Amino acid sequence: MALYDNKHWLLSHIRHSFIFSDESGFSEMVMMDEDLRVPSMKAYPDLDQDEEDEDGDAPRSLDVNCELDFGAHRRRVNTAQKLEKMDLERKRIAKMTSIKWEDPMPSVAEVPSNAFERKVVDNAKKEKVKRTSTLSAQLKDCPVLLKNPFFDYSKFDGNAQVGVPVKRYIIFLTMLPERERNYPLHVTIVNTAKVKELVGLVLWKCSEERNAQLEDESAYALHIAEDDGEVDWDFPCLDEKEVVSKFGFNYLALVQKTEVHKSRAQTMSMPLSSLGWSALAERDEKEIEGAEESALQQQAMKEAEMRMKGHMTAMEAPLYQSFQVYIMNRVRVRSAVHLGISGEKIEIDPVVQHKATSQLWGKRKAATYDITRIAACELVNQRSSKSHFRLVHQSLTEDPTTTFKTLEFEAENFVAQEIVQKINHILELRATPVWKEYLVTKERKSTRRRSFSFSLK
Amino acid sequence: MIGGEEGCVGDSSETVILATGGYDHTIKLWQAHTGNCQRTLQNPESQVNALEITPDRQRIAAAGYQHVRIYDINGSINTAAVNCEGLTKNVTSVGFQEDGKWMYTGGEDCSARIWDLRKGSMQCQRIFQVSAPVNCVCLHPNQAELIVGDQSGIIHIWDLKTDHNEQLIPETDAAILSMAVDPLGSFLAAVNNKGRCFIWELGGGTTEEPTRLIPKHKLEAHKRHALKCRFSPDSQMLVTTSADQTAKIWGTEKFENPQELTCDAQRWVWDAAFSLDSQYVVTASSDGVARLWDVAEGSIKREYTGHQKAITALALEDVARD
Repeated sequence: MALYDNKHWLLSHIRHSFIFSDESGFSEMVMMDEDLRVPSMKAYPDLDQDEEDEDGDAPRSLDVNCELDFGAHRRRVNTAQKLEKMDLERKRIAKMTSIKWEDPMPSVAEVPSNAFERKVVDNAKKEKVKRTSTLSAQLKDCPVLLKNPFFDYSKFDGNAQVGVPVKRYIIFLTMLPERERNYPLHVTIVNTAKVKELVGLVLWKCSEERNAQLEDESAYALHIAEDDGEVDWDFPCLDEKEVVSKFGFNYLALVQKTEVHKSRAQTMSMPLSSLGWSALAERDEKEIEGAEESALQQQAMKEAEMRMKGHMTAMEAPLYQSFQVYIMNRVRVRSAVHLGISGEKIEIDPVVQHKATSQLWGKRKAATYDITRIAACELVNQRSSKSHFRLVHQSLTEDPTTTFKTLEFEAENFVAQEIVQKINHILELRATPVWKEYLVTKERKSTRRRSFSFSLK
Repeated sequence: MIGGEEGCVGDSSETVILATGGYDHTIKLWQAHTGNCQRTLQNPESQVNALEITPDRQRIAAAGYQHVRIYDINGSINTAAVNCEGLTKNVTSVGFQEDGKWMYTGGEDCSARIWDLRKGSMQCQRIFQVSAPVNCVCLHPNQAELIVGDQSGIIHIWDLKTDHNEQLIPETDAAILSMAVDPLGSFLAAVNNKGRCFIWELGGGTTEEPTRLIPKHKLEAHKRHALKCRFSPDSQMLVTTSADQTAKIWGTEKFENPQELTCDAQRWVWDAAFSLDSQYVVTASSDGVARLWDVAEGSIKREYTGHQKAITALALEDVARD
């Protein structure tokens, strides 16, 4: 509000507003002759130096924002960071006494005699005085120290270094006995280290501080964990060769590798006979073993990939995606619609058709169905290129008993499969009561049918 | 044993203190007999050129770029307690009067200074200017004469009481890199960047006269720059370190046939120190590793790893066992 006192600012604002909003250009012509002298900064005693515009011509208008603002915005953020750094420095220096060199005053010629008095060094005492050393005694007492096998990983410790970007983790050690499992390990590691080295560092810290019996570092893997220590088994273990700076998780758990880990990472060793290779000669067996191993390896990799893909689609399901499908009318005429599926709702937007016939038959309004009303989505039938799928939803009636209505769609095979998969993923994730109810009703129906068929006999 | 990294040293008057510092802006305190790093002190924005433990064993001084920082060895604060500033360029050496009354420094600003450490007192402040950067300063056991070695090859002996000074040049145009006086005041050793080591016998020094230097030996100690020399506490041995990746131990009787301390991994050996009984020597090398050697065998007994970059300074304070 202080600005509104300022004549210069007000005039400038009015001027710019007129020019800005007047499309006829008259105001600009009128004001062209008025020379608005740029006031000196003395008129603004309260403004910080930072807010001073470098460019005197920059518009002082609330409406007109020049692109410089973008840079200025970022300058603010940097300033905040700098202020924080300066604060920390100040705190650090406050703890430190500073002694500045002062050149000795020439008047201090009268140096007190005891300051630089010579000490008598008994040169003659050259008898070989054998002094006993504590260091030597200590070294004798612990002759050979078993070097910690994980010692090489200690160099990745972030605490030992200054000025290097580090990542901090809280690691739950699942292989320790029950009592100790609740106490996680705090680890700081340099950004450039790999997951394998993080495992090694965790093991080193564990053996140093907790005296645990540990195996070789290849027997352990890191998983994402919750903040209460529960391991998230849905995700595979962190890849050993990845750099830790890639991951954002703060809570991790160190687990002992099990068969699952080993089957993912290494080849599966299956007996030859089970694959029907028993007829081959011995010398060929070795060759084939080699080739088979690589084939098995590839297969294992493919399976792992598939599993990863499965994970990915499950994670991606709630993300909004739009499909072009055909909705089936009651009259068996299909009309093209956009089916937009997200974790919150399903939208059906009719594609604008210009053909008269489809307009007549296929006139539909746009509809939105909240996910909490969707009960199921299933493939109905599959033809060579097109498939039909059905969306079941709960109708909004006041009737206490829920009735389910269906919408039928037609789409390309793979599109239909994708849609069905996506909606089912979302439904599983959300686990709405409507979905569960529908499942229950379906079960009941199927059992009733079965029982009915039995009773006929 | 709970401890390991970031533990705190209790009272350091009875423990063996081993400290290393270098280019990674940290000073590490080690448990000498196990090889474990006990604490890491921060020395931001500066490498460590020299380390010296105070006579009361409570603090350690680190000479760096344009400052000398003094840290508490006890406790758990990892930043400097005192920062001595007002200097320009690198401070190359630091030391203390044996009662802790004053501290001396030498630096690239061509001066040697005396800092009065007594609170509020400026009486001991002194400055001594030479014409070349000062590489090393050492104090005669008589606590009254300061020996200053500079880049142009001159050794100055500065009498702190009378302000009188003497000069000698063992070899022209060969920078003096390190000097040492043995605890009994019988020898002065100096090493230069040509790898030579000069030994003088010291005479006088007890009366008001300046110490006399009688040239005794000139040793072709190393093939490259000699970086540091130090006498053992019993004055029986001298260790010289060099850029030729070795440290050599000479007997002070004859100064011949030195024991060589070398291994493949070791690079430039910047500093070395003896245990109290002269049985062991610790070396600091630019491969980032400090090593404890058995003098008689010439073999490595302990390694101190953890520094990320070269170690250029070392300080060892052993404790006598009664």
